Amino acid sequence: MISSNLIIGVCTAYVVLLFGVAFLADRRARRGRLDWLQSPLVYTLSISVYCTGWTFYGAVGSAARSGLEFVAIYTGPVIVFIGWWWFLRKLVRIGRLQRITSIADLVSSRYGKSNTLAVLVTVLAVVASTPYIALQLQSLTLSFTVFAPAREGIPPDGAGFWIAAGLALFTILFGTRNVDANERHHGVVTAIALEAVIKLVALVAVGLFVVFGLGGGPGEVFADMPPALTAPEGFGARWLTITFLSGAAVVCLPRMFQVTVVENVDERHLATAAWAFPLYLLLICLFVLPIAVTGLRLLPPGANPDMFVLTLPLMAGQDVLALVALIGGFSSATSMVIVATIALSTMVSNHIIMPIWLRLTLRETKTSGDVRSMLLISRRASIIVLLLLGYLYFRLSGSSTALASIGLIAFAGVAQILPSLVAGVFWRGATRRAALAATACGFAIWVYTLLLPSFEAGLGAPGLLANGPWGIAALRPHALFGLEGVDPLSHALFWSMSVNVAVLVGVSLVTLPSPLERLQAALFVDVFRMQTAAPGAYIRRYATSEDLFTLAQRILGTEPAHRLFTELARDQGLSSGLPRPDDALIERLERELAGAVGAASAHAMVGQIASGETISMGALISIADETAQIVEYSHRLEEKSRELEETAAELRLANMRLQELGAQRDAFLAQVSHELRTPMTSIRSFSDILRENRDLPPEQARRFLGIISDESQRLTRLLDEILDLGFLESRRVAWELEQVDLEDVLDRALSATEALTARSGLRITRSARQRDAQVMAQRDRLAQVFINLISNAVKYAGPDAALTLTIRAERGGITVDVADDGPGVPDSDREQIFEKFARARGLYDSRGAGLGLPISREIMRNFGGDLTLRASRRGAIFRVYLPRPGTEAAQRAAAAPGSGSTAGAATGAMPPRAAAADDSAPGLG
Amino acid sequence: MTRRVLIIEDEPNIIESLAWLLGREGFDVTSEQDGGAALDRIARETPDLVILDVMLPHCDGFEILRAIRAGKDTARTPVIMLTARGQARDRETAEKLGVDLFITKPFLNSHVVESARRLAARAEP
Amino acid sequence: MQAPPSAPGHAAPPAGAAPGDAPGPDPGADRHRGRQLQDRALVLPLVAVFLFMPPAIRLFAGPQTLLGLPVIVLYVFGVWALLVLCAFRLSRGLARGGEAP
Repeated sequence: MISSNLIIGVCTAYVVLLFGVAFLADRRARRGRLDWLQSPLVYTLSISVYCTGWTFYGAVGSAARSGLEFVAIYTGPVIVFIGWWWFLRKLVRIGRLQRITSIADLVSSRYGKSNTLAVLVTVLAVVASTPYIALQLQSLTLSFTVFAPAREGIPPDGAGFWIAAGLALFTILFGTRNVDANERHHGVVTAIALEAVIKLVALVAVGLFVVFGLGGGPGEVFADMPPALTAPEGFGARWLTITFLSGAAVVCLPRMFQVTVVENVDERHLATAAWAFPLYLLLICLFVLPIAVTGLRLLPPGANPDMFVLTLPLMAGQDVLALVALIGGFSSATSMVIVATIALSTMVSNHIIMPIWLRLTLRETKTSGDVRSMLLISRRASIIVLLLLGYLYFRLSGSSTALASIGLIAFAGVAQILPSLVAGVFWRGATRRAALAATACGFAIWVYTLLLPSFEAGLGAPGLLANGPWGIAALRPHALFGLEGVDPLSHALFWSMSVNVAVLVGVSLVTLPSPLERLQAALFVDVFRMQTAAPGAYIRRYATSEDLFTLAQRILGTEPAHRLFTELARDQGLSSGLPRPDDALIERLERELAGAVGAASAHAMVGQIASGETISMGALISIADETAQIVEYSHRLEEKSRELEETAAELRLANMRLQELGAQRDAFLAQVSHELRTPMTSIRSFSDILRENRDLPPEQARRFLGIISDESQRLTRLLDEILDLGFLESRRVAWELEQVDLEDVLDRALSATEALTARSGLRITRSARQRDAQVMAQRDRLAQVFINLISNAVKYAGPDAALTLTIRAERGGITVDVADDGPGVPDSDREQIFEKFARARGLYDSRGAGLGLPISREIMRNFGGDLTLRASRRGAIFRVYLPRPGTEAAQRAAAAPGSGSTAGAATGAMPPRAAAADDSAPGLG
Repeated sequence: MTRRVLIIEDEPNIIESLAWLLGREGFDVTSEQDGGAALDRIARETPDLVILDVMLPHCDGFEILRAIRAGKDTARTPVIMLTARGQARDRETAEKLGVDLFITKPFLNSHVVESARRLAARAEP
Repeated sequence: MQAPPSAPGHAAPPAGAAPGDAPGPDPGADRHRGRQLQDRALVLPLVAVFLFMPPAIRLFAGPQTLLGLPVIVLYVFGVWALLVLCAFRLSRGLARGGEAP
C-alpha cells in the first residue's frame, strides 16, 4: 500500500518539476532562443490538453458502461483536425492577423467589435467551464481517495482545495507574465507539452500492462467482453450527437481555442497537428476499451469504472505503475485547469472587468501603464475566482455524477458559440444582433434542458424533471414540447442548436449590419483574399500622435510602447520622433492593443482619444464587393486575353494582307512601268530618227509617224484601262442596273466589231435568238465585255478562225459561251489570264498590255454575274454568266453593287484579278 | 566583213527602229520575237552581237543570257540587254550573269548604236 | 499567297486564366496538382464523416469478431489510423506546396 505521504511527495515533486520546466522555458524564450519551443511538436502536444482527467479516467468508465461510445468524443476532433483546411486554417489566419486573444474576442471582433457579444460569450464560457474545472478537481481528489481511503490522513475536500490553490499559483506565475495575451506563454505551453507526454506514457503503460500482464493478450481480453458494448445501437443518435459536440468543443472550448489559435505562432504547425493530434488521440484511446473490459472482468462489481486505470494496477500490486497512472491523471487534470483558467481569465478581464473599469475611470487622470497593471491584476484575480468557482461547484454538486456526463454538458454549452463562429467566418451576411440573439437563445435552452437538470438534487425541485415547471408537461426539461424518448443530451442539442441556427439565420436576414460590422465581416470571411490584415485604412479617425502614444503607454507599459512607436515611425520612413497619426497607423495601433485587451476594448479606448470616426464607405464597398469583383475581374481578364489573342491574330492577318498588298503594288507598278515604257520606247526612238534624219524618204517617214501614232494611242488606251480597272475595283460607286435584253446587247457588240472581224476573217456563228433574255446590267458595259471577248478571239484564235456564241437560259441565270477554235489556253493558265498584265509573265501570248479580261470580269461581277474560262479540249470557251432579274444574286448586285466582287477579292490571296487580252477596244488594229 | 546582230525582242515596232538604226550603221540585222526560238538561232548563227529584251514570251531574257554564256561558241558574244521594267534588281541579275551592257527603255538611239558598234568591234578578232 | 502561317505562339495564357491544354511542359499541371491537393484536403474529412457515422459504421457493429478481436474495434481504429496516414501525407504535400494561401 502506498502511503499518502508518498503520494503527496510524488505529486509535489512533479509540481516542482513542472514549475522548473515552465521557468526554464520562459527564460529561454525571453533570451530569444525559441528553436524547439516553437516546434510543431510542442504545438501538437499542447493541443492535447483536450485530453483531460475526464479522458484519463472517464473514458474507461464510459467504455465500461457504454462500450465504444467514448470514441465519439474523439471522432469529432479527428474530423475537425484532418479537415483543418476547411476551418481551423481560417481561424488561425484570422487569429494571427487580427491579434485575437480569445474566442470571445474573435466573435466580438467579427461582429463589429461588439462588447456585449464578448460579454455573452465570456459568461457562457465561464458557466460551461466551471463544472468542467470542477470535474478535474473531482477526478483528482477521486484518484487520491483510491490511494488514500478517507480514514487515512487527508480529507478529500482538503486535497481539492490545495490542488486548486496550487494550480492558481502556477497559472498566475506563468500565465500572466505578459500583458499581451496574444503573445505565446512559452513556459506554460512547454509544461503542458510535457504533461501531454506524461499522460500518454502513463495510459499506454497501464494499457500494455493490463492487456499483456493481466489480460493475457488482446484476444483473451476481448474474449469475454459483454456483447452490449459493441451493439449497433451504440451508433445511433447519441453517437452522432457526441461526435458533433466534441467536434464543436475542440474549436469552441476556451482552452482549445487558446492553444490552437491564440498560441499558434506558425500556420504550418497546424499542418503537422492535423495528423499528429489525431494520432495522439488514437494512441490515448487504443487501450481504453481493453482496460474497461478487463476491469469489468477482474474487479468486484461495485468498483467505480472511472477509476479502473488506478485500481487495476493496484489490484495487481503494481504500485509503481499505479503511481505513474496517478501522475498521468494528475497531468491531464492540471494541464486542463491551467490552460482553461488562462483563457477564461483573459476573457473575463478583457471583456468584463476592463470595460467596467474604463467606464469608471473615464474622466480620471491617466497614468502610464495604469491599464497594464489593471489588466494584470484583473487577470490574476480572475484566475483565483475561476478556480474558486470550480472548487465551490465541486463541493456543492458532490461527486455523484459520472465524469463523462459533466464533460458533455460543458461541451453542449460551448457548442452554442459554434453557429455564430462558423457563420462569422464563412458568411458575410451574419449580423451582430443575430449572433447575440442566437447565442443567447442557445445558451438559455442549454441551461434549461441540460445544466439545470444536472443540479436537480441540489435545487430542491424534484418534480421539475418529471412534471415540468408548474406542472406544465410541455416544458419538461428533458422532453421539451413533448419530444420524448430521446436521451437528454441529444434532446438538448437538438433544441438548442435548432433554435440557435434558426435565430442566427432568421435575424441576420432581417437586420442591417453597421458599417464596422460589414468591414469586419469582409476582413474575416475573405481573410485569404486580403493580402494583409489592413490593406489600407478603412476607418477614418483623427488623433494626435501624443495621445496615441499615451494610450499605448497606459496599456502596454512605457518600454513596450516606446519600442512599438519607434517601429511604427521607422515603417513610415521617419528616423526620429513620433509617427504620423494617419488612418493606417491608428488602425495598426488598435490591432496591437487588441492583442492585449481584445478588439472591443481596444476599439473603445482608441475611440476615446480619436475623433470623427467614419468608415471609409468607398473602401468598405470595395472590400465588401471584393469577392464579386475578383470573380468578375478574372472573368474579364479571361475575356480580355481572348480578345487580345483575337486582335493579335487579326493584326497578323492584316499585316500579311498589307505585305501582300505591298508586294502586289510593287509588282503592279513594275508591270505598269513596263507597259508604259514599251510604247514610249518606240515613240522616242522613231521621233528621234525622224528629227535627226530630215532626209528620210517621205514614205518611210510616214510609216514611222504611223508607228508613233499607234503607240501613242496604245499608251492612251493603256492609261484608260488602268483607270477603268481601278474604278471597277474600287467599287465606290453604286451601279445603276437596268433590265436589258441580252440579244440586243450581242447585236450591238457584233456590229461594233464588224470591221475587225471582217478584216481577220473570223467567222461568227450565233445560236438561235432567245425570246426571253432579260438580264439586269448596264447596256454599254455589258457590250464592252462582249467586244473584249470578240477582239480577243480575233487576236488569239488565228486567221480564219470560227467563233460560236451560244446563249443558254439556265435556272436563275443566263449564260453566254464565247467559243473559238484557236489554240486555246493551257489549263494551268486558266485563272491567270484574268490577272493584270498576265502577258508580261509569259502567259497567253499577246502583244498589248491588255487589261481587257480583268476589266471584263470586274464588270460581270459588278452585275452579280461572272466571267470564266471553261475547260475545253480545243479552242477557248469564255462563259459569261448573268443572274436573271429578281433572283437573289441580281438583287444583291443591285442593292450593293460592290458585293459581286467581294467574292472575287475574297477568293483570295491572289493578286487582284486582271488579265491579258490586249487591244481590247474595238476598231484598233 | 559585215557584223551580224541578232535582236531578240517581242515588240515589232522596237525591232523595226533598232533594225533601221543598226542597218544604217552597216550591221547585218536579224530579229527573233520568240525566246525559245532565239536560243536555236544564236547557236546556229553565232551573231557578233545580241540585243536582248528581258521580258519575252515563253522564256525570259535572263535564261537566254545564261544559255549564251554557257554555249561554247557564244560564251564571249557581246550582249546588250534592254528592259522596260527598270528595276535595280534586274540590273544586278544581268550583271551577275555577264551582260556587257544593260539599257533601260526608252533608250537614246545614239547610245544603243555606239555601244553596238563598240561591242561588235571588240568581238571582231 | 497562302493562309496566314499558324500564328507563332498563342502567347502563354495570362496568369489566372484557365490552364492551357497545350502538350509538352505544362505550366498548368503544377497549379492543378496544387489545387487537387487542396481538394483532397477538403474531401478527407467528408470521407471521415461518412465512415464514422451511421449507417456506415453500423455495418460493422455487433458481436462478430476477426482474429479474436471485435470487428467494430478493428474497423474504428483501422479507419482512424488510415485517416491519420492520409492526413499525414496531405499535410506534407500542402506544407511543401508553399505557404497556405
